[in-house]
Amino acid sequence: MRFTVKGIGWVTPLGIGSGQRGEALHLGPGRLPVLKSSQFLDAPHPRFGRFDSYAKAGFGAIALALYSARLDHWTQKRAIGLVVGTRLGCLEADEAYFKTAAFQGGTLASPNLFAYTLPSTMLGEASIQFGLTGASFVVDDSDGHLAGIHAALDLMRWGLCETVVGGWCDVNAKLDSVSEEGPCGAVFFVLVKSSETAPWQWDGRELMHGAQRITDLAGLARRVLEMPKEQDEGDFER
Amino acid sequence: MNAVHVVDIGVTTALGQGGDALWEALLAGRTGLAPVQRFAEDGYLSNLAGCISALDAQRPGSRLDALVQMLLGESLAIPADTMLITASTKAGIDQLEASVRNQPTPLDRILGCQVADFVAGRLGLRGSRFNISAACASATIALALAAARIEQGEADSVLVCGLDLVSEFVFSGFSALHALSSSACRPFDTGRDGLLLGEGAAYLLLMSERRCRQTRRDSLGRIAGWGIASDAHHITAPSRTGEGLILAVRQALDHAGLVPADVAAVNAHGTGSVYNDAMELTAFASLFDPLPPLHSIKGAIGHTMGACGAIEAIVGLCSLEHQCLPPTVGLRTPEPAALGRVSPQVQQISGDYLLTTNSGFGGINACLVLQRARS
Repeated sequence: MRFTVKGIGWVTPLGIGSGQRGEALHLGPGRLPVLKSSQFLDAPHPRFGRFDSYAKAGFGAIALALYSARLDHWTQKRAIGLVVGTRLGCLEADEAYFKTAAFQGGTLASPNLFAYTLPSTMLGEASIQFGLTGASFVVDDSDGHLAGIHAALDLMRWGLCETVVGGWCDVNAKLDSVSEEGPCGAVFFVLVKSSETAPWQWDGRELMHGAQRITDLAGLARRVLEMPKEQDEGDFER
Repeated sequence: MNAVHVVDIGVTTALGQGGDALWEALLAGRTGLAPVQRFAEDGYLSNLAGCISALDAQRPGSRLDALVQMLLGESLAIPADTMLITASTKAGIDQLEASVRNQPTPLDRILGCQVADFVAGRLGLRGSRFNISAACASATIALALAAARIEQGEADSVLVCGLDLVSEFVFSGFSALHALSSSACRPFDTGRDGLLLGEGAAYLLLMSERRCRQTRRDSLGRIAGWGIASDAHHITAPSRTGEGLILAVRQALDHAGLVPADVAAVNAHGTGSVYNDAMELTAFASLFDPLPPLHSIKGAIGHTMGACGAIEAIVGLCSLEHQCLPPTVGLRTPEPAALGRVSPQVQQISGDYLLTTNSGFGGINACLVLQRARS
């Protein structure tokens, strides 16, 4: 299946961006900066303050990817899918929630925190904000952090969606229950099923850009950001 | 396109172990909902859940391991090259509970990937594996993704395994959301006032026609269509118009090449919450005329969260085989929109296709079209 990449957005400890003005993506470990909804949206988001770090980073990167694809404004809901690959998911929200529920017989359990104890809630928030009615789910991350991208492309290949926002999100700071090294943040791409002339290809096993095999998230992002505008007509714009 | 056959099933719920035990208990109208024993429930809206009593005892590690052991038994034979997709919303969340309470515990089941690894290791599976998390539609989506792989010829054999525990973590959360009933789960009843949680696990082994023949396995039925769609409406409440569910059902019917009149029955999500059941009846009214017979099993085993789609797919296959729907346990006075279509008694059905649907937090909806074996 051929496809095009219409947009990219990221939130990492080393920066926030959407490929505009030559911004470069750097993946790595560390702590995310303090995130506010105004960094991603024109108007304040009523629940952004309740999000855990995973949801803030993921929601923010999805917003930036849609912005760079010029799909962030809408009047009619769109059949666009959302898929994220993650390993730790919303563990930070899990820990924070259960600290409100574990003592005093659960009488102080916070419903607001509980709502964010599913890793898919972040996708739900994005679907509401941007009117996205396509398939939506969370899949385990894999080596190379491309599992969410692969699953998103599968949805297109199988005819379940024509456009999918797919990506990766993991935030490993501030956890009591798990101590993991590895990159921190979120990176999402707007992927659109395309004609046979598009340079991107996914056959269910290998992700290719022209003759180049893409094996990890950093490589995919680098390729997208380096892509000359004319190579993919109407595609991602720097 | 390859036909997608279900060739083996297994299930463990509060109503017992195995598909036959579940089916017989459902037909008899029994409920496995009972007072919770494994944690103090005094501070919560309800004391009822569909727990598997054998899991109540304290043990090192997670109850999930024992649940998997009960589900898979000692002698389950799955081809080693089978792909595995697990579906769980909270995996071994009891380990995180212990950790927060500063109780010594391993933390080897708190991630979805750890569940998939554990099940694969338990069965000796060498194929690829991953966990799907999509709230209460997790297992339905896992089945859809598995079916798509087989249909497209990308896999010959895929095992889908849905599993979730009743934990204080989830129980307290639904209580805090005022989503639990204090008395009974009454799907599609005018007096329904909330859901009750349950735990369980189920597996469905899917194979292509070719692999069925090669391994001389009988088909228990087919997955003929699937659809997945979001409401884009609210995080914890369904869309009142049922727009996401309508989209998912239409996708599934289109994929199967069917029209609504082909559907013999619906296994609804039917949580017993005021808004979910109203949403489903609104969606079904817009899709079907007349509404086919429908039912929910959540009054019998509780809402088993990430596992419910797998358990309900098994019940759907049994319904097609026996051409009847089990009673909707807890139902006393049906909603006017479901009058004559939902019943506290066994309902006879006639046809080859059954729809099974699930919806969850984040506004996600998923639907499968099941086809009767040898139809």
